[in-house]
Formats: sequence, structure tokens, C-alpha cells
Amino acid sequence: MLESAELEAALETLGARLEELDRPVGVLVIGGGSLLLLGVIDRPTADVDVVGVSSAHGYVAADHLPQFLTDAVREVGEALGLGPSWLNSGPAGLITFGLPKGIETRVSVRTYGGLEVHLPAIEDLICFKLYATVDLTERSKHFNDLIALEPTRDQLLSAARWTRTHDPSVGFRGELERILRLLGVEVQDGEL
Amino acid sequence: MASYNRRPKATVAEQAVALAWGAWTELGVSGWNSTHGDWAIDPEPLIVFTAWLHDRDPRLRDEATDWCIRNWRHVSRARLRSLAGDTADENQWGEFAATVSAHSGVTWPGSGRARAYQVTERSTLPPLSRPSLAWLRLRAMFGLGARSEILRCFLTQPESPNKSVATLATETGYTKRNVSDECEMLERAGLLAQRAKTNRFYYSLARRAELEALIGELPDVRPHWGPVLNIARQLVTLEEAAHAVSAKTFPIRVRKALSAVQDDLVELDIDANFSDVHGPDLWPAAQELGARTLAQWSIGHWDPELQGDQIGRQITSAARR
Repeated sequence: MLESAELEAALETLGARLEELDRPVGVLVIGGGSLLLLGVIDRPTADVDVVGVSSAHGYVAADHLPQFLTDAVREVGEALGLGPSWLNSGPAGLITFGLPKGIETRVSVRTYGGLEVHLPAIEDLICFKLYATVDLTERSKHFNDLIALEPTRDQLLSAARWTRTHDPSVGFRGELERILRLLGVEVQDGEL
Repeated sequence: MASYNRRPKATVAEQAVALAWGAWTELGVSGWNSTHGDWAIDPEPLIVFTAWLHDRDPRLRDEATDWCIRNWRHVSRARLRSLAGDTADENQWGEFAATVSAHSGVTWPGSGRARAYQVTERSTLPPLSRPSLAWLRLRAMFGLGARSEILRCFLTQPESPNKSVATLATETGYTKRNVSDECEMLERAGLLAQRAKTNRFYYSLARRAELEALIGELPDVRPHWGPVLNIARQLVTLEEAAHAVSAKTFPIRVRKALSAVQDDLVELDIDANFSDVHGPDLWPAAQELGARTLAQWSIGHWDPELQGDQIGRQITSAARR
């Protein structure tokens, strides 16, 4: 498990290695890794989920990380004792089905040598965490992460509408409304 | 043998050069110190390693070149091809081989341009009765080829383990086909015993006492020079990288180097397990490994007490401290 300081050290080492290789890259990070880097949570994270790789045309789905990045991640993992895939590709479907509109304008960018880590804004993280909570129930870590983000009613409703673009099914909507109620949000007609 | 200057050199590169000088001096290169009189010298790994050392000691390179030009008949080109292909930097090896070829009239494997070189004619070949030249003595008896090298592999270890043809091919630097043919001949002659297991043949030395009596005095230290010199090469490269690469990425280099010598350590019966050592602890662990191996080897120390479990625990605990 990666504590905050270990995560920073690993990213610095990875960035230095990419700089050494002259292969700079930018990655969009979601999940526990992004929350830890933003200081939203202090629980250690198992790994860092990369959902997209930065390109001139926006984020490209990272269903497989580029080979040079996978190799560099493995090298850093072996040197620091983090395992070979401490930074890996997350749910690429998020990009396939559409990221929250304008996410690229809201990210904060941390630069570690040849590595740019793009961290979503709080409202976008709420989208991802709400979607994961509906998917994996309130017993998952995502529910606690969502609470730690201290979402407002408007942010939750906006996030809920985005999650519906990924899963328009009736069953999903029912579960979504249940989770929102747990968070103190009663959905009115037409709000979703 | 007389021994002078029994203190490890300051840098890893100096230790590697000292180890090579000690071995070359036994072979008859004009050197100052006699430190490896009780080590059995294996020429081909030493030649390839010396080519790799290159400018780290130009005089060593020149005197070793002189020895190779004068004594090429004692050197196996097949083994050079195999060893140089495995480990040597192509440019450095190519230049060394081309220089020997240009002055000896025989073609050594490798492609490169000969460097400007004046033959020194200072090298000799001492009497083969010298214990450190036991492996050259073996070649004088059994010929320059796989047959001698197979026997050398068995004589390197005091006991006679069973070895497969594949293992012997790796250890000798000859092809499996060649090794297989020669093992069969040695088995027919009664020098090797053959055992079949799961469709593979394993060989062991059948008449060690008689063979040792025939060969004459063997030195106490009979290392596998390939692993010894690969460890030296990795440690030198690491020391040089310590000054050249970013402190942030240096642990990556150290991890790679330690992984690269893991099989060599096993082959030398040094149980150094670095799997629990990480980050900033890696370089101290590698330095500890160097202090217990190359630094000792460079002055001719081969302490059997240091082989085995003990050294592994010491290295790991030193890194943790």
C-alpha cells in the first residue's frame, strides 16, 4: 500500500526516469491515488489508476499504458519495492463513454520531471466516485471517499446526471437514487 | 606465492583492475604484484573482461594484448566468440580482438578496428607446472577444445555433481552438440560417468583421483571466472553510474545490477538475497556486496567462510542498518 510520501517519492522517481529516457508523458489519474495527492484522504492506496494519457487531442483511453511507461513503472516498482504495476491503467471505459464535459480545463497538473500527473477537479472526482459507489454499493471504499469529498447537493445531482450517460438502465437509476438518499439528497422529478 | 599490497583498492574500478592484473600476472604478463598464485586462471573470460576494462587501465590492456599476440595458441577462439557475444561491449571487444588479429596473424572473432599499438614483447608464458596455470596444463594434455573445458568444469568443484549437457555448454562456452560429443568420448574413455534421467543425460567425473594425479598440482581457489568477472563488471558500472545519473533514478540502476548478478551469486554459492532491500538501501547493499566479494578477490582472498548463507544475511542486515 502506498502512503502519501511513498506515492510522491514513486512519482518523482518515475518522472526522473522518464526524463532520463526523454519520453515525457502526461496521465490523467483518478481513484484513491488522486484523492491522496490532493489531500482529500489520508488512507494509503493500493495503486494509482491512470484513466487516460494526455495528447494534443485531449485524453486518450489508457486501456493499455504505452510500453515505455509500463517498463519505467516496473523499474521504479522493483527499485522501491512497490511491485511491477503500482501505476496501472484504470477503467478505460470512462473515456470511451465520455468524461465529464470540460474536465481537461479543470484539472490541476503536477509535474514530476518527465511525468505530468493530471488530477481531476473535485466536481469531476465526485462524478467518478458516485459512479463507483452505485456500482459497488455503499460498503465499498468509494462511498467513504465520496463523503470525504464533501459534495454539495448540486454537485451530486450534476454527477448523477453524468453517471446516467454511462448507464441509462432503470436498475442503475434506482440504485443511484438510493445512494443519493444515503447522502441526504432526495431526487425530484426531472432532476435526473 | 609472494604477496604484496594486500589492502583493497579504494574504488571498485581499481579493484576490478587489480583482480585482472593479479590473474594476468599469473599468466605471464609483466606485473608488479603476485596476488593470485593460488587461483586457477581461466584465460578467455579474463581476456574479454580486460577488453571491457578498456581505458580504465591502458597499461593492463596493452600488456594483455601483448600476451594474447604471443600466446594465441593457448586461447580458444570458440570460447572467445561465445563469451564476447554474451557480455562484452561490441566496440571495446572488437577493437581488442582486431588489435590482436593485426599483430598475431590469426583472426579473432568480433568486428572492429585495431587501435594503434606497439608490441611490447614483455609477456612470457611461465612453466605450466605453476598451480595457477592448471587449466592451461589441462589444455596441453587434452587439447584446446571442449574436452578440456568439460574436465575443468568438473575440477572447479571439489565434489563431482551431475551436470547436464546444457549446463556444461553454458559453463564451457562451447555448443551443446560439441559438448555432447566430447562427453560421450570422455565417458567411453572412463573419465566421465553417464546417468540418464527424464530423457536427458547427466555426467559426472568418474575418476577424479586419477585425473588429479595426472594433471598435477591444482591451486586451492578454482572459481567460475565468468560469474566472478560479471559481478566485477556490474559493480564497476554501478560505481560509475553513481556519479553520472540522477540520484532519483540510481536505485533503479542498482536494482537492475543486483538482479543481473543474482545467478552469478548462486553459481558462486553466495546466498545474497536482495529481494527485501529497496530504495536508498540498495546502494549500501551493493557496496556491501562489493566489499565482501570484489574487494577481497582483488587482493587474492577467496574465503570459503564467506560463501553460503552467512554473507546473504550480512548484506541484507547491513542494508537495513
